[in-house]
Amino acid sequence: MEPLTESDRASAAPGDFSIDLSGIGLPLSYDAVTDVLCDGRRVWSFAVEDHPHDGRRRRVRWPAALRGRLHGSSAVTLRRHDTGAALCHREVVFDDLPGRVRVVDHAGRELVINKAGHEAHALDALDSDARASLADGLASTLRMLNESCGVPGFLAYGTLLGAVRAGHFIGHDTDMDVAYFSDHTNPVDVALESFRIERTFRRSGWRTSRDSAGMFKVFVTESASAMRHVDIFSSFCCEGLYHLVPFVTGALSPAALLPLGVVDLEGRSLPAPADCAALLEMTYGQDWKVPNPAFQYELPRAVNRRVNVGWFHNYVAHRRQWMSFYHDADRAAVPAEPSSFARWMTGLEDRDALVVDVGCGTGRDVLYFARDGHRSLGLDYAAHGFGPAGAAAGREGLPVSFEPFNLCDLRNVLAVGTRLAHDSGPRIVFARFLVHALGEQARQNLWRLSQLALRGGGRLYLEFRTPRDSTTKHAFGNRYRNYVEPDVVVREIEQRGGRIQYRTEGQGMAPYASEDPHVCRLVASWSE
Amino acid sequence: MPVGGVVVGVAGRLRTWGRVGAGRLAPTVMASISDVPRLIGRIRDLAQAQVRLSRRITELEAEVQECRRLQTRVAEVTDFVVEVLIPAADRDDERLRRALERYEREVL
Repeated sequence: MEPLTESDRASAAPGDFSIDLSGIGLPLSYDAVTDVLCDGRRVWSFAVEDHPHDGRRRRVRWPAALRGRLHGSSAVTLRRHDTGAALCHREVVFDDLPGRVRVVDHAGRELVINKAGHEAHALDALDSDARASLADGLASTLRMLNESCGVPGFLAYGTLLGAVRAGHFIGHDTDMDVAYFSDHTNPVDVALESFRIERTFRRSGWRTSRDSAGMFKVFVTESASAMRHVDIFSSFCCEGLYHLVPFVTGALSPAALLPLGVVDLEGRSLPAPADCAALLEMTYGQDWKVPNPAFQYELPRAVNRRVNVGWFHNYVAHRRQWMSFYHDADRAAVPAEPSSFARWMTGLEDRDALVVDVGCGTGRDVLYFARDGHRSLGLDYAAHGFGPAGAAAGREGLPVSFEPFNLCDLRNVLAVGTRLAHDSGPRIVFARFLVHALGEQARQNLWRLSQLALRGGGRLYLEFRTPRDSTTKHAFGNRYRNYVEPDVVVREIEQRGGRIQYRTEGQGMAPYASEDPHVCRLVASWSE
Repeated sequence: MPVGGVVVGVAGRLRTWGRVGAGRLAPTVMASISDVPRLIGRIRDLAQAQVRLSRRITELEAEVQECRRLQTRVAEVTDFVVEVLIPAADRDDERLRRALERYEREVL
């Protein structure tokens, strides 16, 4: 195909574009990165070449997160991102509902759909005070890295790009990025250093959250009612290659990073690599100077396998799905009353046991256990889920606590397992609909936790979907489900010294709405 | 000798003369033709070797990933040992409780 000339591109007239609920239609002659504005505000950007065509016209489908918000009508503008030129502007009626299209969060803050198709708060929606507050937070983060943590920290990824290109945050960016250059050359030491640095932030009163063994976030103040995160990435040299977690691997000399230079961002001089252009070219390619809000990293398979899947384990697998689930309307569909499995369990156990509900979700069963006379502890890695239940427990004065807990992080499992092992008195580990929601490593960690917690007595109660459930229609749609044969679960528990005391499989045990899943119930113990 | 036998004998001789003649006129072509069965066998061997190698690459990739995954696991265990178990080495329960409390506060 011949490359399009500027005159070809300019030949697209407003009438060549169509906009409706199914998506956007474009002439083939048009191929620029495009912003979509609703009532004058940018809500999404896309690269034309990422979308299919039928030989005559190109069809751009709305990302699911935006499609679900297209109700009522809106003045929709399509705009070239590079020149800012409007391509077409028209009033679009998406459906019969009254009102305008609103792309905002539950608190009314404006959202955009980012390049990954997720809802996010873009920096271009912020006023000058909020931008100044974020720049101060970023400067504090870099001071912590360079002065308190003893590692050379510098701006990276989109934040460095915005600073070098224009001295400002990139408007369509949604977070801030910094990295540090480690002296270590072995991934084990790099991970340990990242753990140590996160601890230093915590000890200084910062709120943090870890995504992988090579990356964590710190939270800085955006305004009186909002926080925003700064991603802190490890970078290091190993076997002659430079790695900046999670996207960059290549031949970059340490001299391109150190000694650190400075770059201006929102009126502040902040640490930057010695040769910003070299790192930006390695990150974004030779066209790094051309703005592109639809930019996607094309991560070579070998880099992804080595750095992200191999060296630095992902601690947040599928968590975004669960966070969204607890934010949107699906949450209301989760029954408030306890599960039948929880009722069944309490009929078999004495009331003085501590019940640990692993993967407690909304915490409905945790509240039930407490109301039934048990001490109870709810654990889940999507902490948004149990927020309302925690508040309810506080109001009722129930003996309940909820804690963020991540089965993907062995440190978390060992710490909580050891604490439970030291807790005197009988205890129950309860995990309903958890086993089929876990990857292989997280499942092994569930057995580790149970083994630690129950070595002094008590029982493990499991209810999970079996592979026979995999082809049936589910009330909550197609989520990540890793079906495991009950025989495999039994074997894994027995290999870790557990003994199965009860096993049953079938339907009729966990019906919900029109769904009657095929499940397995297991009870196991570890003590003599 | 029946007529049929004469025809077969003549045809056989003609084939032999033809083969000898062609061998003299185009010796490399004839050598290649006679090599065809061996080459077919070789191609079959190579195809089987390709399947074996492809299977072996998949196995090796899995083994490499297995080793890489250990990096995080070793780091996690080391972190826990250094921060919790070593301080608790004197079997001081109160100290262990404090170390655990602090570890959880800083990790979770």
